[in-house]
Amino acid sequence: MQVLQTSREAATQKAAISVQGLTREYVTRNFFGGVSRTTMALSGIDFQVGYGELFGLIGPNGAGKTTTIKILTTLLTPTGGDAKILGLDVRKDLYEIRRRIGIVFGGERGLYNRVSAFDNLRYFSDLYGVDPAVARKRIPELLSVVGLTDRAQEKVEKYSRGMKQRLHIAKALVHDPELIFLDEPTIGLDPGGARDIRNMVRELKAQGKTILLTTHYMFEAEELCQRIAVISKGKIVALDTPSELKNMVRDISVIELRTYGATMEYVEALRRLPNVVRVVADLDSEQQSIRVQTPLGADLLPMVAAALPAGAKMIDRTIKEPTLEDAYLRLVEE
Amino acid sequence: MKSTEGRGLSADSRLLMAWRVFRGAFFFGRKGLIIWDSWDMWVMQIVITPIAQIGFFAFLSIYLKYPTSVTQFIVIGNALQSMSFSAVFAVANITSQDKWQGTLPSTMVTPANRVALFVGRAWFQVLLSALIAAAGLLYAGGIFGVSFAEANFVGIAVVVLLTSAAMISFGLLISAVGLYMRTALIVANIFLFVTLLLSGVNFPVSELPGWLQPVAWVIPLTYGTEAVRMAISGASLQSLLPVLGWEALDGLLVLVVGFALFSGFESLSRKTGRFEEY
Repeated sequence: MQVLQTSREAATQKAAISVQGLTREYVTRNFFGGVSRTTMALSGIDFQVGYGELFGLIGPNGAGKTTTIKILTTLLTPTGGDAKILGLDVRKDLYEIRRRIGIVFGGERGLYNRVSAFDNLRYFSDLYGVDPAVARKRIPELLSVVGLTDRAQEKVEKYSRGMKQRLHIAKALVHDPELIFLDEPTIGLDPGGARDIRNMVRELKAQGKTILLTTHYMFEAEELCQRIAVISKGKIVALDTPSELKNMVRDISVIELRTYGATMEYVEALRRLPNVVRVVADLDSEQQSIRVQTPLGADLLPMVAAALPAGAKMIDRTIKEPTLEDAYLRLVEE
Repeated sequence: MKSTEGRGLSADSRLLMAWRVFRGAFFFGRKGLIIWDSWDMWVMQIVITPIAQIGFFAFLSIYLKYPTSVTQFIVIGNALQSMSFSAVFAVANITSQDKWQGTLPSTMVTPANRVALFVGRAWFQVLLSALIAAAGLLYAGGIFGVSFAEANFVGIAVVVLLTSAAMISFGLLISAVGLYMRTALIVANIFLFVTLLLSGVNFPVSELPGWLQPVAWVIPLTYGTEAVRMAISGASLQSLLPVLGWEALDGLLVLVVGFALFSGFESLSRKTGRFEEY
């Protein structure tokens, strides 16, 4: 027992992030102070992130990703379990942890919109106690890295969403942190803006930074992360490399359809077909995109075509290997 | 659980870090992020706020046919009280404004010393509040006939600056409430009217019910209104010192209570996850 504990402690010390049995419960009280509702946001999660690793945390809305990040960045106290950041306790060592981590919050909020990018960075470098001589050199460098040099003196309220997100990244780096938390950094960005952010993340990884990334985009997690934890309903349901996660759905193939005029009735008809594991559809565009997971592969194609209602048209159909998204859907729906 | 804040840094380093935070926060506060974002808005506030407030109460007094001495008593009180909007309301709004902009989480995850940070952010309001009170006193002399013939101008300047700084303590105390509640503005609004009622602005504190009088002396402005009337009547700095001493002590005590509250609400907000509620 003691040996087990010692080896666990040794592993914790080697990890940049170590989370053991982390629990967070939200209690809603009524007017009289009595408990009206209890919500378990995290139910005893465990994971470790090595130094220099780019680790992904993926899951549906409300799964517990942001709660986890808030606890690890000292914004929220856990109600149970332990979490250590760079060997420091998130309950006790607030000051030291805050000095050594950087956080990128997704979305447009979180910047002082009425002042310039330069002033935002200068203010946060002061809050982190960065030596003014260092800040004078670092801020222009960061502005250059995130491509905002030419507009550094403009008020942030005039920036596009992508520019704001790049500024968020510069802000998180102003004190040169060892560990960076990226909470959905590409949310709401156009493809070009999202690609820029992903390139910056790769660059940070190349510099040896430890990164914890949460995202809704599976291809992004697959492209960037060395290991991924899938979180659902406050529990980690899988933790592995992207390729190993994909191996979990090797037993199925994916039929990818592009249709014209397909409706929800067609999707429901596909779901009723034998050996169909899951159907995911995007019906919002003029051309619909439908993914059918099945162990039958091409053998299902005649039934898929036959179910197409009159007036609808099949533009394209392809048999594909399952992706991380397919694995993810299976994991979070199980 | 006790936080090991500042562990691993020497006292000198912590002091240097706090100084950097204060300086940065002061210059950032100067940018007028609290509510106003441009000089023209500030000028409007300095010029219009005191004249509107003094005018309201002065004309009410004239309409009620009070003696000139009473009207002048009211004018001087309101000239000083007009600073409260800036000293209390704007400072109280710091945390609420950060919540609305979504900058509070980014701020609270920095290691910045909270006293240095929020006093720094508020400090520019000391100057702004003092300017508003100075404009109010100019109107008192120029428009409402208050005589400054025997005034101790150095004394007036000291009173105005000290009252401004002391009232900021109340702004910071209310700002601490905003850390936990969705907004501190309602509390700030209530407090502004409480100062009108209790601080000897429109009538002497001695006219209040006995049980309310000790409450009046908790507000630094109460000392300020007494001291500014004394200074306008020509009281020397030496004779002003006891009142100013109590005012400074009061302001300091409110500041200490404010930061105890701030620390408590910060901890509570971490427990309940309320940094982002607005």
